[in-house]
Amino acid sequence: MVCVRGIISFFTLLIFTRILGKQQIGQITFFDYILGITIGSFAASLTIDLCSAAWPHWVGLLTWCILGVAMQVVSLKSKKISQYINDEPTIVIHNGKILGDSLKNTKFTLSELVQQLRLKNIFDINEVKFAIIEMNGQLSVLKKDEFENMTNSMNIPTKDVNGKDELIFNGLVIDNNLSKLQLNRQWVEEQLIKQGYDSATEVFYAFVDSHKKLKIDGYKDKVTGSQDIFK
Amino acid sequence: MKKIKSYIVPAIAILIFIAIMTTGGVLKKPFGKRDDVNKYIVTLKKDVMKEEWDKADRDLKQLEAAWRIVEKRVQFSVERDEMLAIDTSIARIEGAVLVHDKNLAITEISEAEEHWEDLEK
Repeated sequence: MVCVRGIISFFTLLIFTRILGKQQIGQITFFDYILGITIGSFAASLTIDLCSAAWPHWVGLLTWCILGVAMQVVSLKSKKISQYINDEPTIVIHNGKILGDSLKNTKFTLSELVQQLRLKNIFDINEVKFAIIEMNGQLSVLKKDEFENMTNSMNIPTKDVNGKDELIFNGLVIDNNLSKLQLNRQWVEEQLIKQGYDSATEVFYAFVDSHKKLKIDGYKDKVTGSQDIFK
Repeated sequence: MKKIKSYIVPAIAILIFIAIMTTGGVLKKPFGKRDDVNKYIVTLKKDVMKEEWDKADRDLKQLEAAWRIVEKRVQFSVERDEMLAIDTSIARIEGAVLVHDKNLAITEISEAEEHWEDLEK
């Protein structure tokens, strides 16, 4: 009986985890982690809890997986909901200064922060321009230009790179970022037409790079031919 | 074709799993004359009421044989506790029939009947 129920739970879990997606362990959020543990717990009960029928455990497993997929779909459709569900990256160091309130909100201790910095070969907080705690708890660090790389020691002038500014997400133009960059919708539309898109609804993600060029990732990849690279 | 396979195979597997887990109610119904547990419970109860102990003994053995057949079919979709409860009831009925104790036998048969009904309704 345990063997048959084990086979059912094993393959059910395999199928459901395939449906849930391909996020790597390092990329999952805390909620995804708890979701994984709970689903695993359902599968274990389904296998060895012979005192109750298999069906209620299986329905529990199915319900959690459906909710997990629903959350993923909703997160993909709406940036606001995605931020609400998954939280958003938090800046904890700015120009060598630790932002205490932000650090407190992320439940990171100072020693943990310093340890994460050391793991990134940073032993002085003053070297840091930005440090961001990502949604998965990892620390991303942008060093100040003078500590960044060889170019500094070679006295090669560097440009100030502030990273990407999102202008379109999931077909919607982000007006806040447009005004921040002193751009307008007309400029965006011109750029879209130049790159072969009729409107923003065809675009999944677009951002302005450091050279003020609009980089676009459309829903339909413009690949003319396909080939199975695994063959 | 490869894409269709990648959808069809898991879908079929899921349907098989659901069938295994939910068909207890169907599988407990008799497929022949030898596995009609409900009929043997009713017959046994009548035997005991009339205090026909030899006939009750024969019907009890048939009930036990029928239960062994059904037990194998429903084991993956029902609670093991309910199955064990029916095993225990049958053992107690056996003792009651052996000592010709009508009251105890009727009590245990009624309990077995209840467990049988609770077994994947």
